[in-house]
Amino acid sequence: MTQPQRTGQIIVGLDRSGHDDVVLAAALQHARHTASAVRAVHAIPPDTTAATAPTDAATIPARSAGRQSRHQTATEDLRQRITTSTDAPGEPVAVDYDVQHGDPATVLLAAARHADLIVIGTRGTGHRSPFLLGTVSQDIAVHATCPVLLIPTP
Amino acid sequence: MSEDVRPRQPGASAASPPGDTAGGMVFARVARLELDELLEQLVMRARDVQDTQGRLRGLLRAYLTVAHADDIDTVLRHIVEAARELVDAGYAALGVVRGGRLVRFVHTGMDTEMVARVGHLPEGKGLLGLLVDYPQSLRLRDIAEHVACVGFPEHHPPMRSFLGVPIRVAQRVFGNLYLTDKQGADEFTADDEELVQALAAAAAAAIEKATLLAEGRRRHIWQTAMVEVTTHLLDGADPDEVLRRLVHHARQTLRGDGAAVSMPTGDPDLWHMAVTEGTYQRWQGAAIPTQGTIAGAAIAARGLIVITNPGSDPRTPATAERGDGTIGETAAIAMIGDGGVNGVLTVSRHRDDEPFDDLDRDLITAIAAHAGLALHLTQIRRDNEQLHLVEDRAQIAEDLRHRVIQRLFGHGLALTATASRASNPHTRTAIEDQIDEVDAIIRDIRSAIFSLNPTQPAPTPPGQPPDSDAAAA
Repeated sequence: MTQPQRTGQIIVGLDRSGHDDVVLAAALQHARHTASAVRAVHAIPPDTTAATAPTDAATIPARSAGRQSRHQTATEDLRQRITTSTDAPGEPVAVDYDVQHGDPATVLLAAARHADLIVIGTRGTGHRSPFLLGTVSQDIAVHATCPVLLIPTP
Repeated sequence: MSEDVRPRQPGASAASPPGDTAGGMVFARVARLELDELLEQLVMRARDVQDTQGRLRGLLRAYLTVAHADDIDTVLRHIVEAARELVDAGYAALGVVRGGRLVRFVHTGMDTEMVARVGHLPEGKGLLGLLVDYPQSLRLRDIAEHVACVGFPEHHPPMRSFLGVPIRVAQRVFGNLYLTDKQGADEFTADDEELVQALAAAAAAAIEKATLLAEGRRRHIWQTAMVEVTTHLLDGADPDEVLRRLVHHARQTLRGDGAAVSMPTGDPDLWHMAVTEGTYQRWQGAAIPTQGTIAGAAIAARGLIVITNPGSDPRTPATAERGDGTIGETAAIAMIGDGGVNGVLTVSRHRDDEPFDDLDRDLITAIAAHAGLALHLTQIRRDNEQLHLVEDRAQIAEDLRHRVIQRLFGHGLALTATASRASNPHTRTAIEDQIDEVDAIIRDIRSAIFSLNPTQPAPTPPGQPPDSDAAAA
């Protein structure tokens, strides 16, 4: 991959879990220090049940509608989380957000192609060992082209 | 009004002969003679007045009958009957003229048997044609003596005296009133001519009224139909069904014998009849060549064409070959869409029907515009469906790629764990090679995903004062 052009943007990965506010607060703090903009990114993981089932023309509309409603719910949830965090005292930071379908690591890496920093929590849902990072943070830590800030969960 | 027949020669010679032979009473005799004469003249005048009054009453009656009818057919029939009664003619007829042609012939005086024997209605040749070409009152003692006369068809009842008067509606010659065989006299009088002219004026007013009424009604019916069609179209009704309705309305409002919409196929020389009605039904779904057909002529004209006789028109030899001669005047209009002509609407009348008038042309043009819209919408809907399908498929592919990455990553992690447990260094190297391969696959798929999804630019360029409002955007 060629050396990407940086834009002074911080990508923060939110998974709509309880630790999102901590992760977001860390991202905002860094943004204030570096006068960067923040883009919050949430990935809706592929629906494994629907994707494994063979898709025929008849199920496409229903599938498409379900996908769209999941996207809407997630977007609304993310907007509220961000509003709560940015309402806190402190210098204002420009935050926009983006919800996408797909593998979380891939979505975050795609969004961070021209970013200066990726901020993520060390563990999302489904942790197995205290000695291992979550698969998403592992994947991003290994494959990112910019620095990655891992925020430990309390 | 047979009492009209009366001697009209009251001259002085018919006065009573001198009755008194007394020589000294010359003065008295002369006085009596003059008095008789005066009396007789007075009676004559009285009769004339009575007679004129009777005729005027007849004219008034005719006025009333004519004025009372609403629809044009009734109006024409009443005019003919009133004219015949008014001047006491054996036969009366009204020929409707359009474009220098006799397009309609309403007649009275002949019984059905006689009509059947004569066969066809007059073609507008000879004397009738003379009045079509020169719309002026014409009064003749004997039809056969006129230079324009071409004689009667076989089985036609003999007719001698003739009176023809044009009917003008709004400065245009609508037609002519023809009266023949004055009853009880050799010829029609100047009075008769004046009476019929007066009736013609009243007839013109009644015809105009009935025409406007009919036009208004047709426009109303058409408008209602178009509103219905548009509502259907916007409701998301099947455009094919909408097209069927349009063809139906086109046939009804234009009083056609058959109507159809033909649409292009893959072959530019071959179109197919997509929707048909009436006489066109037998060609439903048939492929028609664009060479030498009505549809082809409309496509070439890129607009409205009216073909008076498709059976013999040089533009439509192919139609003439297929038709059985029953197809009369035909109006065809090309429906222009994005990519040129996307359909042709055709409406035909029966051979014996009247030709299309200006209103008909207006209506078919408007209907074609609606039909063009329906066709256009059909195309857009079809395109839209295709687009949705493509989008959905792209999403499925995208999901699949993401899922593959997830699984490959899990697979890589598992392989890493396996490699750490492997005691044989060769095995470990082999497994680590596989891990590298898995990672390479992941990177490959990711770069494909990245190239398919260009990143959005940063919301705020660095260095500019950040704005917290963007968070809620």
